[in-house]
Amino acid sequence: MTPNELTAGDEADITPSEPATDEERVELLASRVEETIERSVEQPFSVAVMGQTGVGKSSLLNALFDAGLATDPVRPCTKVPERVRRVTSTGQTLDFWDMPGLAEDATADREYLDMYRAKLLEADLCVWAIHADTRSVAVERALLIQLLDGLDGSERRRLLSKFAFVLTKADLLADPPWILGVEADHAKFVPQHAQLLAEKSGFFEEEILAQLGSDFRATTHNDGPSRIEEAEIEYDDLDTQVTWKGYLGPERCEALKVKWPEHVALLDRMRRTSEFVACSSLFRFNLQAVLAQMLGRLDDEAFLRFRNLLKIDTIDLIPNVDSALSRRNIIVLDNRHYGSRVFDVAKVALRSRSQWLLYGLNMTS
Amino acid sequence: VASVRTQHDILKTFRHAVERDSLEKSLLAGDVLKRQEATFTRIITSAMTDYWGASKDFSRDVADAVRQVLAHPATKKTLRTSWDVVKFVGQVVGIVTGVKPFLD
Repeated sequence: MTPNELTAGDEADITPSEPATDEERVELLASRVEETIERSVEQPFSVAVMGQTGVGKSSLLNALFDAGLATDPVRPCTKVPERVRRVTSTGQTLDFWDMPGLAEDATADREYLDMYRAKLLEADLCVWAIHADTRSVAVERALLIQLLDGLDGSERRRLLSKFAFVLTKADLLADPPWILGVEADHAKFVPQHAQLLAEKSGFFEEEILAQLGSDFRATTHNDGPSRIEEAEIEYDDLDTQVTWKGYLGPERCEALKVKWPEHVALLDRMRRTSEFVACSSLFRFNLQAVLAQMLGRLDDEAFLRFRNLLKIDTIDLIPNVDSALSRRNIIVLDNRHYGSRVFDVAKVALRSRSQWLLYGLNMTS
Repeated sequence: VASVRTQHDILKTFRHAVERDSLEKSLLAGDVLKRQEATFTRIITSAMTDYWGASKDFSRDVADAVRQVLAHPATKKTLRTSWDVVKFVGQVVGIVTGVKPFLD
């Protein structure tokens, strides 16, 4: 079949100015595709971040996208969403919409709720940042219900499809000391005990996401020709995209992976999209998991912008070794001079980097 | 300072985490490329419907061809920029329609 073999109805839509030959038609199509992509990429990537003051909204975007946002701890004096525009180190323009009045308390004025809904629906991505050490979900759950109550079914699903739920400041929750691996030009933090973080994520998922019913959905790209036949699964018209209608919890996901072993990767991706990811901007911990979750929350145009923000190879690496070494309650693996020797910095009174090196020499000799 | 046994455990914990993170980064990079394939497929087929008035069956044929070519390892390595996509559209549509690709 060629473009010239279109149906009679299709042909009727083609005006005399349309290209006459197949080559011209293909050229036109290619230029339209290029225009669509260029138009999408030229727009700023718009991310709305909800969360209480001090939860680390700006720090999270700085860690993920090198956004260069000010991290001012001063409490905002306005409830109006505020936009900060930055061009990131990758050249992509990023619009950060701070939602300062949302998630501060369990009730919000209707006027502000309407404003927030509109901004959230406009954004490419909505991040709901919650302090990892929070023990109650009542405020977050009440606000989410308030936000969704004013929307019809399709709008609710559209809004929820944009949300990435993140637990911030995981460095304050995981038992210290953390392990700091030091290389020549970078460092990397690893928690010794991540079990508490996993339990916390599971708690938030059960208390918030599992309560949303089929309005909450996890979408990912399709891997191959065969299909998963489950009531909650939906494929798009072209079989390019798969959606799980509802919350996909860890037990259900594991059971599905046993039942559909050829779709393990796809199920893992959908599970990641349904997670509350615990991360630390300060320690650059688990940021790749946050990006993986975000990947599943973007429509096509937003994705084209998002991919221009990514620096995956270095996302978990801390470039400033001296700054990392100044942290307390860390165990250091120094791979530069001492070949993976271990030091507990919390037990060493450090005044300077040279003193630390001297101390390191003493301990390993 | 950690004992010898603890030091061994710490090293093991750290290296395990580094390996896991490295795998996750690799999976994420692969997922971004696959998501790109799916996105381009949808954009191309949508443009075909909008600008050609192409039938759904025809669009589906091209989408299948786009997917197959995009999934090829050689394509993944070379298809990086928007201009690559434009050339690629020309080639794939040319293959499906029997028209000689007009772009090299």
